[in-house]
Amino acid sequence: MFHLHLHVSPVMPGKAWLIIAMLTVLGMLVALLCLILFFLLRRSRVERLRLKYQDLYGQIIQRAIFWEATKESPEIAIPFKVARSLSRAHLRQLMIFQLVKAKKAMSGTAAANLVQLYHQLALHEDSLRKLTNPKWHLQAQGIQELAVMEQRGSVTRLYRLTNARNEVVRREAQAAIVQLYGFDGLRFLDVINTPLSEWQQIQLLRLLQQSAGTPQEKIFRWLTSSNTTVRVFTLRLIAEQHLQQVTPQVAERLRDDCPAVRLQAILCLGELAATDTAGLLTAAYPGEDLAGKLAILQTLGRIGAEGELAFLDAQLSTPDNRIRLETARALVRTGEEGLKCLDRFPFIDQSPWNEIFQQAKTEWTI
Amino acid sequence: MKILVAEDEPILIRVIEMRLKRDGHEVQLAEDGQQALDRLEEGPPDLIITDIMMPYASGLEIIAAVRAKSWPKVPVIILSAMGQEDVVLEAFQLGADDYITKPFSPNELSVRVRRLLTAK
Repeated sequence: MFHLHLHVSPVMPGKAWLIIAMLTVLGMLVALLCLILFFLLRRSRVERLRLKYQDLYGQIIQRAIFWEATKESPEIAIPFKVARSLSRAHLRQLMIFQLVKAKKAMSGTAAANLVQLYHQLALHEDSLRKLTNPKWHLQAQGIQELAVMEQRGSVTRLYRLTNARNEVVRREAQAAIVQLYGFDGLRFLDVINTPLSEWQQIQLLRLLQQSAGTPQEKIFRWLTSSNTTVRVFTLRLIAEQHLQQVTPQVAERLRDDCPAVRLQAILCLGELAATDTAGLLTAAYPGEDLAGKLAILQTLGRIGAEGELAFLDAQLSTPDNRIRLETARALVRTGEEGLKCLDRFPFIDQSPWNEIFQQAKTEWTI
Repeated sequence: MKILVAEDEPILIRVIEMRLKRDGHEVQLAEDGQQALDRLEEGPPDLIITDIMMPYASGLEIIAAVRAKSWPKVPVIILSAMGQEDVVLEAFQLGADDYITKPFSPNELSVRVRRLLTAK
């Protein structure tokens, strides 16, 4: 009837079009609502399933943690329902995610059992496949999984990625190798031609804290690496590990072309604090830029430079107030003789020396 | 013995529960800090195992709440991640009795629980 009405009412063509437009919009709104509803229901179903399997996998992981191998059951028992569910890629990923999380919190037999479960379900193959995925975040994820699950067998593939073009992949691969092999893992330093960021250096040093047996002959090589950041990192490593035996090689870095390496060498020598350190630093002082000079003065203050009072005394007369302040600090830290040196200074009552000395003394008292 | 376990990681809390139940303990679970504080209102447990970083209330708040009560001393073991040395020290200052760093072995936890309960 409505259709007929549209045709028999030539006097109201505008109204008819309005009705058609309204009906079309209404139809589209209904379709949109149906679509939203469909996706909401689907998402809630997926979430429900995820929670269900998360709980199921959690139970398997708990059982695996307390599992003890016997002659009758040399493998962890996997219920059929779980085994069947693991034919789906996204559920395998959920299991890997759960296993990795649990493994990070466990040690000893419990951790070994989780690695066994990871292998038994052939989940390492999924992690290995990620290494060749064109998406960098999946590569990084795969590396992390292999490292946490202690997959030493995949070292060659991980090692190749330590010099990858993508920074995140490279960083994860370097961390993974060190996590798995300690100092031996640092062999990537022989070949990397990309810089090691400050953050990455801190990260690697943290991972190496638990390792023993620094490879000394490699350290000599890394100290002369063509990669500046490798030289800086090696100096940090020497300082962290207090490798006194390489002090002469560290001292050679005081003549490095790169200011960042020289600065790190100064700080490293300060950590090693050998008997000739103060002499080495004062000898290098004239050739240094401002940052290097300040670092030398700070280091002298830290290691106690009783034998270098004449040198420090001379720095009090330099025109730069930053050097004067750092020198005053070093003298105060040196102790009684250093304080006497300040008191003997001819312009002690004049500005800015009086303020500088007061500042250095107050800092020390605090 | 009644042991309160506060840990927000679902797998971990179940693993701890399983280990303690195997040792014959009665286990109360709290999956966040607030739940743990609520459980404490029900009465004193014989021992508390708590994670440090949890939603709603931290392990430190739980220790402070236990020590503020006029109960006979309840031993507290804290679970901490590596690199949380400062927080561990703070926990000891608040009155924690022992700590375990993750990753840890459930067997080690069991031994520490036994030691604290025997010394109680």
